[in-house]
Amino acid sequence: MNDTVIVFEDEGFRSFLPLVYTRPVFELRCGLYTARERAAAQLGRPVAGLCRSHLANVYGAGRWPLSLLAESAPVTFVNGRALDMPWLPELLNEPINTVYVADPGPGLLAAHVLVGARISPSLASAVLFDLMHQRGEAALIELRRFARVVEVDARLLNFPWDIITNNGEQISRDLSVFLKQHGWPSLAERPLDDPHVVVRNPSQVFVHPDAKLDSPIVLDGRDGPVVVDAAQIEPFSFIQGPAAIGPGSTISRARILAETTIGAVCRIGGEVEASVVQGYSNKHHDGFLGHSYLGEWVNIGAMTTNSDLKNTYGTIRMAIEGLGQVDSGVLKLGCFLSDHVKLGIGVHLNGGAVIGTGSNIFGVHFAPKTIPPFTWGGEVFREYRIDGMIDVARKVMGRRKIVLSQEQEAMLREVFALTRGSRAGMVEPTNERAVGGAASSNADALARAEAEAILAFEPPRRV
Amino acid sequence: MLDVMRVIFKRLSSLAHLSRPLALTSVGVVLFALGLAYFFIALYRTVEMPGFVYYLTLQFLPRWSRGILLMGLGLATLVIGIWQLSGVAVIPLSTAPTNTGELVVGFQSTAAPPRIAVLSGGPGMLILASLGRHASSMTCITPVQDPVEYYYRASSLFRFENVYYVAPTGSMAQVEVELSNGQRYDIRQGLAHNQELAPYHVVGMRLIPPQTAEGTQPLLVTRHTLDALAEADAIILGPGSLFESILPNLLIPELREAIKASRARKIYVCNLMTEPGLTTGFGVAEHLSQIRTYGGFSPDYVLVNAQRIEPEVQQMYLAAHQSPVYLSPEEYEETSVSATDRVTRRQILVEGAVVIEADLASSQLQLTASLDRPGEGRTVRVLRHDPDKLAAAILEILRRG
Repeated sequence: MNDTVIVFEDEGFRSFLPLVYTRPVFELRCGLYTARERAAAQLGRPVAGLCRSHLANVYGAGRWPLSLLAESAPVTFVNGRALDMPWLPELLNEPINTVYVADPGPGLLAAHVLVGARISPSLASAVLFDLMHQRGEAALIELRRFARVVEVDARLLNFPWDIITNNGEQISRDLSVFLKQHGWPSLAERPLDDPHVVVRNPSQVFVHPDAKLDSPIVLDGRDGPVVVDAAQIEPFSFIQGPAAIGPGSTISRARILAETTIGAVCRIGGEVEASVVQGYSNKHHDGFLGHSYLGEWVNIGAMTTNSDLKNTYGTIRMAIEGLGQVDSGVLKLGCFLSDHVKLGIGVHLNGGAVIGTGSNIFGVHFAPKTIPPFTWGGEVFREYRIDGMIDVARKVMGRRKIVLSQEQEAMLREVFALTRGSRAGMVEPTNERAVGGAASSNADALARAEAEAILAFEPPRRV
Repeated sequence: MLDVMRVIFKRLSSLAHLSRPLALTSVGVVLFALGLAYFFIALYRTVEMPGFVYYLTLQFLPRWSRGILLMGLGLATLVIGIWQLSGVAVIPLSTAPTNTGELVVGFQSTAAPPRIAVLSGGPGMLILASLGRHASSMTCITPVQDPVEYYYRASSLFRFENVYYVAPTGSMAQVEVELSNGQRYDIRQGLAHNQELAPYHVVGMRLIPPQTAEGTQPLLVTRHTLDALAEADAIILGPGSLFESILPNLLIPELREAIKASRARKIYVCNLMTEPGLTTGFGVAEHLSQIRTYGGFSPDYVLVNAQRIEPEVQQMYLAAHQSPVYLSPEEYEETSVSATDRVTRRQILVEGAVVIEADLASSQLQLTASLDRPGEGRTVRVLRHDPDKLAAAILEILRRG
């Protein structure tokens, strides 16, 4: 009987807020896959997910996922922050009650982090509760009492910028699994008929048979693989490897520079460099997107551009919820836009800018570096009414023939309530005249206290 | 009529604390109405009104009649309003903190929902699962010899929430019992279904830890189990087979000590019927003495079914060497005065446990069939613990504080 394989979130998810308010860490794309997709691709079968309760009905096995331990087969847990997983097949061949740990990475205090475990259902029941609540460290302490612990080399995502800095290499590392899964030949083995599709190093260029390549275009595989799924590449596009274009996407006269991943069903134009677009997002017009991450259902207006390098050539700092401004240690870093973010035309974003879930920003030349979830406006920011935001989300998804499910709507509403404290001090959504009044200041004070209480309840463990 | 008057008086007296603000409000309304009346009179005398105003203001009636009519209408409206107001739950805020809740703005919160730990078998945990709705957490510690995934499988079918199952140890162990015939058996052999063993009962039991190539593995108790026991407000033993579901876990020293050290109230749900080959001939005291023997403690409470069992159901059980587990007449004589409850009362004590007798069972129709003769299934009426009755009894014990 096959192991029950479950990807889980540990304490590290907090470093990815607000990007992961509406998706588990194991659903963040880096390379050709998300962690969950990568595990499934390696194993050739779907894997279950264990995530925060408000996400569980959309991405997991429900809020009370008892069905995960219903089988007598061993249970294999996989850390949802893991990048490539060469250790996964080895773990599945280990004797029952074997735990894999790894060095958490530079600058992090923990001695080891739990990356995987193959354990009996009895032992799984002893740690499931911890993992349901993202307590990976507590689970590891418990597993050490009962199981054999093996230290392995494993790469993990620790901070949002790791998605960007690892993406290029991860595309190359994922390629073997991807080709094994899909079996496409390279363009060296199956050359294209169209002479106006210029292919550099065709042995590193892989194109789905249903992809539409409207020449003239250039696919450059000299610095890394170029993977084009069943997408449409419009004329005058240039794609430089390592890069990946997901199924159903349209590349419109775009320059896709190295280390870029475009997920499924995106429309991309202009210049994109070293960025990750999760999927179902549009950046259809001119404008530069560099070293950035875009969640799902993001729309970027024409000529909206981000900076990814300081004039001082200093390292870029980025706000992380619960930690404040953190020095990323990298020179080039763009913006991080959470799911359902909409940006108007001509908006300029600083390097390290973070915009929270569902925010709608327009009519501003330079957007603030940090914008909380569900924010509406430009010159003046106010809370985005959740009903309005959901109406927009429903329309946007409907254009791609996808229905906003009840579970997704409930999740968005829950995130809206969860993040209300971060919008303290904004103009009231419905009554601007109330600003400055006693009622408003009381509400602001209450919201600030609520935000502080939430942070105090879950103090950050990493610096 | 008297009853109606009593209800009216009771409801209105519940608003006694509102009399002053209501009187003040009435004075305000009267003053406002007077002012409005002067305003209308001035308007009436200075401005020429259309014809329908003559009828609208009842000018065809004498002024005294108009006054009486309007006062009557106003009084009736006032009575209806106060009546409706008295039906709304208006609770005077008490500034004195109570032992069941703390004062918060606008209402009093009830006591926090309890944390519950359960030691039972599969059917028992399914019966108790509805209790999870009333608990902040409910951790079911599965018997050490049972595969925990069976419990997860069953509970996921029923889509229980807030009920968590945890194995007491990292690996399963074997439990061996010695019957009064001198023979030893693995508890998983289904002794209760062996007709030849029906007249006997268990006289001893022991735990056999798992053997590996390195030798005998010590049985370490999982941290979640220890935490659940330490933090629980109530530890419930049962319902379920005494020797198959409850006592095996008490053979683990660390777990036994955790239960003894816990401040939780320990509640034993006594079996409705004896089990052939396991507890044949046992009464409430014998069940409790086994817990004391193997667990080293006496439960604080024992829940015993007091419902009369239908003769035909009893006959069927007797044929299977099973008899109801009731208190014996001697046990009724063992009483003590309890000072722990809000109301001091005499209580029956058996083996140090306060006996709570209640209607806990309900009879159900059950289809039975054997693997040997699957086509010969038959429906029989069996007695089972009723989930709602049992949950109510346990919550009542917890409510007493």
